Amino acid sequence: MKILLITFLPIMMLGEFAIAAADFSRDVRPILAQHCFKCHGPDVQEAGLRLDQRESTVQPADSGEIPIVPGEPQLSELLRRVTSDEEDIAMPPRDGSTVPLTAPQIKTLQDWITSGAEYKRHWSYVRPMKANTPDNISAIDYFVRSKLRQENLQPSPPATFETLCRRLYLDLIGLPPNPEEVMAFVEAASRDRKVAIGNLVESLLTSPRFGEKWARHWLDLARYGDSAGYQHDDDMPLWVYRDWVIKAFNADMPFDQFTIEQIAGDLLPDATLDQRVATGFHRGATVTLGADQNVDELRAQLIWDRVNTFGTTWLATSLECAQCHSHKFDPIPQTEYYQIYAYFNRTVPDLNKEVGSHYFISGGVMNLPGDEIQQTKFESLKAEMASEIAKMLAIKVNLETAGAPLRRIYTGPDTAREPERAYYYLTDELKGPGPKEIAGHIARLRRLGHQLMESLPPRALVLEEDPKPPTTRVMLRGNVRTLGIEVKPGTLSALHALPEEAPPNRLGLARWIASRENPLTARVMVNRWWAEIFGNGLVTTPEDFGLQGESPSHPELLDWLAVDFMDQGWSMKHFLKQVVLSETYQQQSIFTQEHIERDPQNRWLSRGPRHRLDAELLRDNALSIAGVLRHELGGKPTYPTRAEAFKAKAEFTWRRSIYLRHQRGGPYLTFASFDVPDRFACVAKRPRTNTPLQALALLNEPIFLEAATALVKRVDRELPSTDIPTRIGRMFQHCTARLPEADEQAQLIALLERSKHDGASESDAWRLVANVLLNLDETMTKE
Amino acid sequence: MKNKLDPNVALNRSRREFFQQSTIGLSGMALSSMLAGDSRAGSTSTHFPAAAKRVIFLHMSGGPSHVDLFDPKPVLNQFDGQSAPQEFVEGIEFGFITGKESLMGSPYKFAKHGQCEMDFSDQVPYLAGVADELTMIKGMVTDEFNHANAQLLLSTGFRRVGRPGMGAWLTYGLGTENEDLPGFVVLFNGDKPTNAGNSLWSSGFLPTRHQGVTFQSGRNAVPNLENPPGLTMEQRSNSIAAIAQLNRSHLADVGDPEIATRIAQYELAFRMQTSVPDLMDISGESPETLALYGADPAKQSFANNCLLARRLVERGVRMVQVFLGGWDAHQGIYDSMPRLCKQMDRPCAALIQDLRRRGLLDETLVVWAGEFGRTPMVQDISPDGMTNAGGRDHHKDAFSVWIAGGGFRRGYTHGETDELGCRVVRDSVHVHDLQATLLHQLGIDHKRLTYRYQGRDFRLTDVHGNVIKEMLT
Repeated sequence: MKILLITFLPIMMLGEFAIAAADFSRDVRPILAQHCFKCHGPDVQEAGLRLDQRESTVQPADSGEIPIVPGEPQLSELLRRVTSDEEDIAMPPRDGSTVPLTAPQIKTLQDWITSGAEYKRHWSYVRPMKANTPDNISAIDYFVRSKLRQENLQPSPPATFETLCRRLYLDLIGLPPNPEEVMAFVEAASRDRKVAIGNLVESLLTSPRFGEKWARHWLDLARYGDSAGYQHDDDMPLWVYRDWVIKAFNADMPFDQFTIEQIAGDLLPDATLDQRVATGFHRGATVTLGADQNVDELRAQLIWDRVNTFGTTWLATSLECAQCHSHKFDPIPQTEYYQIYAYFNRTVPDLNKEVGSHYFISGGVMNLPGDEIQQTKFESLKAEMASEIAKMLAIKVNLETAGAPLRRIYTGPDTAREPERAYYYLTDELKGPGPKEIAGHIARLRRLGHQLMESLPPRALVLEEDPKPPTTRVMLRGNVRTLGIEVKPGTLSALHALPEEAPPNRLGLARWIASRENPLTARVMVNRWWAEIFGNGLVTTPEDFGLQGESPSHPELLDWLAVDFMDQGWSMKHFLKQVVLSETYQQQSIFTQEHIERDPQNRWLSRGPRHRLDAELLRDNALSIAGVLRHELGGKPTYPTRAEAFKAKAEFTWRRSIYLRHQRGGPYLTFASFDVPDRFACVAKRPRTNTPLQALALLNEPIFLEAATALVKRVDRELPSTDIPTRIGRMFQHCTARLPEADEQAQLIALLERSKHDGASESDAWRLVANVLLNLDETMTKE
Repeated sequence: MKNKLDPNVALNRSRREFFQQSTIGLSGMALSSMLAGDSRAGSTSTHFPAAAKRVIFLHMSGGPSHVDLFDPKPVLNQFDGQSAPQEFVEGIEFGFITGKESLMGSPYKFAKHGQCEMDFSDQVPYLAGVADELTMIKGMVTDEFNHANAQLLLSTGFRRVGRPGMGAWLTYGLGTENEDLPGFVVLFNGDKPTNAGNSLWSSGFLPTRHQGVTFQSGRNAVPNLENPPGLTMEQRSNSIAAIAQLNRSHLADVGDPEIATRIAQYELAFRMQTSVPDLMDISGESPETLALYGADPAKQSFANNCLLARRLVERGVRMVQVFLGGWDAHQGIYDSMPRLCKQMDRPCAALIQDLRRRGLLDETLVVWAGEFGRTPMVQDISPDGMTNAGGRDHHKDAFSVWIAGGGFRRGYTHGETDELGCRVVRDSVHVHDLQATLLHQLGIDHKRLTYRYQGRDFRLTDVHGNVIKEMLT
């Protein structure tokens, strides 16, 4: 049904909706964009006519005729042209490359002109305003209740204290409460509900676990990975940036500052180390590492990705179309796309290509202070390597040059200054053991190379300005080889103006985005965080606020939240507090028949949020229930499975999922099956699937089996009593924050007894019970 | 062991709810729901009557040489060792070579085979034996001369990562016919079969249940399929029953239809624990069949994968993508070619014969394709000063692809390249045309199987593609 609607929406809009009121952005602009802009649009203005701006259309064109006479369709030349059959008059010209407008399209134009031909701007390009709300009710509840009344729906009663407690824990810190925490909350809430909730929210917001939970969502946007992706899928030292994000969320860094530092922290006056690390955001861009890659295109690919990610992340606008041609729907001319491109086209290249097939991640690799010993070791290994290479190059080798020293045929990097690169060059070119004269040296070099990799001092990938940046030209049809006019850095004309004092570099762009004049960013962000909590945004297309995106379900609420967010110093924690303290959030999430029939997706918020936990939360939840999750903030990535850790000779630890190594080219299969994106590109919204592979993972993946075993042990430790119902009750409580009903308990006891009867050992039988509990829909769902 | 869970009222209801609440159910949903609003619709669940139901896509990653396999070039042989005339190479983008390198004739003997007199080199005698089943496309072209990009274009219709693979589009559009198995399965043997990795069988922006599922070799073909040591199927069955019961009572309390889906998926998971090992176990095939493919149950091989592909389509799986890597012969091409052909030739021909005799070929599309072809010019890299036997560079402007079954013309050769195999001179077929034509045979209008994402309707063929009717019966 949903698909049906989507497929036929354009027709319906142009038909029935148009009669009511043809909206310029939604109904009219797409028609003009499709048929007219090619010759009378932002890029070209034949006959002096530019149809995307009202001033041009209500004045006589070169022909002397007035294209649009507001209120007078019969006097409007535009309508005469699009309805004409005469060869010289008809528009678009009947030259075989165009199609005439359809009858409903003509009708839409006619209705629009009749109603005054207003060029009303798309809602998201107009600055949000904060509507007045009564004092005795939270703004969220006020707007939601008004909408519910309109839809003739009732709000749901409040959730039980147990459910609410678990919901708050999962939403704010991404971990479940233990039974004692639940009981303490229930007791406090029974005394004073408001105070108890307030206190709990306060303590969760200040927990260091908060940043670990909320960073995950941001890292999807930043297409964060610990490897580069594609062919070699080399390591990418980005985790320092990941830690920066966690710290920033924990500190409730104002979002405007959070924005500026990530786009242009390096360009701030007296930039701190942290501010430079923040620019790692854009080093998440992936590359095609291929022996045969054109270097210009490689650079373009990276910068395209930066522009597109920038657009999706901060503007919820898909700029990508404008890479090749002016955007068909949104008001983004191709030249403006390349103006944004020009801001990013000023950094040093991310990659250096060597002779041979090796690329080196370069461009803003920042050594981090700290480990002096490691740095010294690294330097001495480098020196050793340089001397080894020097010795080797002096040897005469019987290659084609018949007995010349190797040095004479060597064309690689400077061996004294850059021994590690020379090493790569040599070992890449000399596959296998190498000619026998130098085989010993090659073997030693390989050993040194391995040691060198192991002792790499901590580094961070950052953006760094090129003192001599290349000029930027429009790439016609998005082709690196067909260049158009030169462009300077600049912003999008459909949005707010660039402040005059803004520098012509990324810092200018960052300040433009972080401006209160910006109609999009605050809305985009509160909508995303709202979606994290409620499962869906007020705008259900968090990646697209443009003309092709969905309209907000509660426009006034969205605007109120956006303005309030900015008013409160762009404080994310303030925003979250507003949300979770609302009655809307605290409703129970039970579906009634009415919900299924009239609000199945909870668009009108007639009940509380209820959805399956994300992959990372599922794992953290299970390990936390089992009592084995380790809490250390930050640090190098760890391997998701014991097998991988073993292979990499690394320690396997039960740390939070945010610290698991994200190998882009070889994802952790369990996470992939739970919709974790591969992070090759910016993702604003994960799907939430429900598949048999997920069932298999939760049933059989070693990590979840170990969690089941640990849960049994935990309950052994926690309960002196061996009374079966009590133990089962405790386990159940760990998983769901509530005690089981009698029939639930009976089923679990029956399973335990049956397993034992079938010959399972006591501990295996208990493990199976724990495994079942970890697989309950209730355990994997935020209710 | 078959699933022992009692089907009962609650589960029937949950299945119904599953179909209702997910946009697409398990069988054939996207198209049917699109067509439900189509003025011409009402009768079928595809855009037009489908010739084929399933696809086996044999992807020869690396790019096999057309001039050594299917496209004989006597003139190339004649001018072996000389530079190609400028007009042949003008404007062509090559990977490594400049285009001025010497031409290199093929050392292999070509002959015409079958009643249709189709060209084959002596490297592929078994395929030559099924000539009359094939549509040979000699005029294939692509846009990309890098492996990853070209593979992505061939599999997903777009040169960069992020789009759904063809199999994802098919299960999205047509659903699957076997509820015990995933609808899109990927098979390969050896490491690194592709350059673009799993983005070739990604679900892209489609719901992730459409993503290709890679089956590894052996009994544990699907991740986490096997129960932990010590846990019997009986216990697993009991525990799944307990989960279902507890979930059902919770469903009664909280009413979320998603719980019903979850119950159904746990059941499928349980069925897969039985169906997948059974599927992967080829030891029950007759010795004659094993010999036909050259398959050995004890080993992992392309031959085994071809046999598995048959077993998968037999069970109603919508698309099977089989990879065979190693064709990227920049050097030593006449070492690697015989070795690879030996792996590839017999199983491919066996697959066609086997499907034919089981009555499955008419409704199965078997596609054999590399992401591009190779240059008529020699590439001779010798960075270490040692002399290598010659190789051929990547070549995007002409290559050969063949298709069997699914209503493609039998014993038909489409298109023609110039005297050197450098460019297509007649009836070129772009990758998007191939995709459009394959979809057409599955009953799908490639322009109408779309998915709306980030404000745009996307499709497999991007904004291109024409159905090449001449190749169809």
